[in-house]
Amino acid sequence: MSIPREPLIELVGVSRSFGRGAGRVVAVRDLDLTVGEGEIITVVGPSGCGKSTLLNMLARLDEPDAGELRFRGRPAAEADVEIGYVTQSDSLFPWRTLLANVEYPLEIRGVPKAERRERAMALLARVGLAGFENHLPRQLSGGMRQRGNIVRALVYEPDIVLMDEPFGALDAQTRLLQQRQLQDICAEERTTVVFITHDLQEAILLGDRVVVMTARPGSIKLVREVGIDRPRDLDHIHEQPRFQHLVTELWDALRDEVLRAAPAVAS
Amino acid sequence: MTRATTTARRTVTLQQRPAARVRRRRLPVWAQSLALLVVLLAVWEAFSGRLVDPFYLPAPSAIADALAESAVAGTLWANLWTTVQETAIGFLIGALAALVAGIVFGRSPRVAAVLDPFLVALNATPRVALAPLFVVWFGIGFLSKVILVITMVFFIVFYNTFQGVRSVDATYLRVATVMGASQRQIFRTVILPAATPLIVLGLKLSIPFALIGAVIGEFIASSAGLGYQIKLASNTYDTAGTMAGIFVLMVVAVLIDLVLNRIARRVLFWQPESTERTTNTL
Ligand SMILES: Nc1ncnc2c1ncn2[C@@H]1O[C@H](COP(=O)(O)OP(=O)(O)OP(=O)(O)O)[C@@H](O)[C@H]1O
Ligand SMILES: [Mg+2]
Repeated sequence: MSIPREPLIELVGVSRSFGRGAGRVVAVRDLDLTVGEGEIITVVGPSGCGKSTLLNMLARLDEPDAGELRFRGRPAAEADVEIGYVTQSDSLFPWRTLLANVEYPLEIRGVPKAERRERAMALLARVGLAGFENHLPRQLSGGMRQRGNIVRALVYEPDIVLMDEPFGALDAQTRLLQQRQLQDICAEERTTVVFITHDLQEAILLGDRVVVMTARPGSIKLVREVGIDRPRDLDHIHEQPRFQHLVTELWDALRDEVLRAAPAVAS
Repeated sequence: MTRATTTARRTVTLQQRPAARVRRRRLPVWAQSLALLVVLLAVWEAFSGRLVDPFYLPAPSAIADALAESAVAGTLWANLWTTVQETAIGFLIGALAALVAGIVFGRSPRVAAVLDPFLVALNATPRVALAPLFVVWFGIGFLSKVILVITMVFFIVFYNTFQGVRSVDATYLRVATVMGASQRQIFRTVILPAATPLIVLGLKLSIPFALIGAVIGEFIASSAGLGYQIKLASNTYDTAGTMAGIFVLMVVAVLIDLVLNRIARRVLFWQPESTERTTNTL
């Protein structure tokens, strides 16, 4: 059913630990994962299992201690890929207006002013932020800021977009809206996305494949193909048997890990 | 229906009444401040010469006379100009050097670590105590005052710049890096703007100290400046003249602060309004 894809990201036996001696924490261990061009991978796992650590390595902000990370077959350091990165907390520059924030990645690439304005405005309008372009981040709501963040990570059309729980802090309704917008944009841009969330339903809703990670040291517990056709009707997807089956199966896997990560709560 | 309307109306009147009362009975804040000033001056004027010997506490009118006298004679303007020049030149040189040093140190933790003990020691040295030495080294003229001002300004601006550059939120640096910004671009577009609030604060805090540096330098040895004028008056037990000089200094400090606040608000337009008041010791 799914078209075979060229591998864009390859993780082979990737491990990363922090600190040394008694204080050493192995954040992730022996990760093996291949992400195809245009694929949307969602990652769930208990808090502290190394999801952000994984994303930071993909963003090339951090390097694995062991194992290999390749983009289009080339080692991460030499690979010519552009990456968009949406952080867990909102990170619009408070000294720039929304528009200037979204133009930022184009500005540092030397895109002429008129063109970058046009591209930024078009995307802002797509996520319902037209009319707010001259607002400063502090004058926007949390949900608007997060949309701004996402738009800023998309505007330079990166090969890969990394998102670290981008909707984590939003209320349920806003979340649903943003999920819908994200799905539309991804469908149109055919961007490769690695999306971290603590919300299993969101993971199934948005992903082509869902990765469940184990408790720390994080490794991959299981990977499931979602196999629900796109475009997905996010309002009614919950009623589909396939969706319900996945929720049950993945939750069983995830629950064990969540309990392992927090034994105090289990007893 | 009717009930709801009545309740609504009642709520409205309840909310409006106190505000209306305030508006009717109270003067604006500035008018109240002014009234308080007038009262204080009047009490002072009445006390001086009756309850207190005017030699110790001259009346406001006597101070005004002294002020007018030196203004007419022209000495006030010459001295004011000297002090303002010393302050301004010392401030500009000190602040510029401190900005450069703060940025260099902030960007290279190694240099900062090596030089840190020296800076702590120098900063702990009371600069006022250095003033007599500066007079010996640089003479009783303009130069020794400017150098004293520089030492006063430098550390305040330096530490604030350093802190500003060091404490940039790591998230901003990370997103800029991933978006493909070079080190230079990150410095210009992320580190500098993020450090601006602290830099501006440092500049603001340092200005009164610059003025203090100039005046102290003039106290110790000089032949011009407001500090010199104040010292001359107090040497001849002319308390009215002394207080006239102090008054001028106060006005200068307040004016500089006003101008600076205006500039700061423009530069830091993106920051939420803060009610913060800068305080300084010494
Ligand atoms: N820079 C670092 N220095 C030391 N330890 C770190 C560092 N970054 C992460 N860790 C540790 O690695 C582990 C995994 O952290 P990470 O932030 O990747 O978890 P996470 O899965 O993103 O958690 P959450 O869902 O709460 O965001 C944690 O135990 C954390 O303490
Ligand atoms: Mg995280």
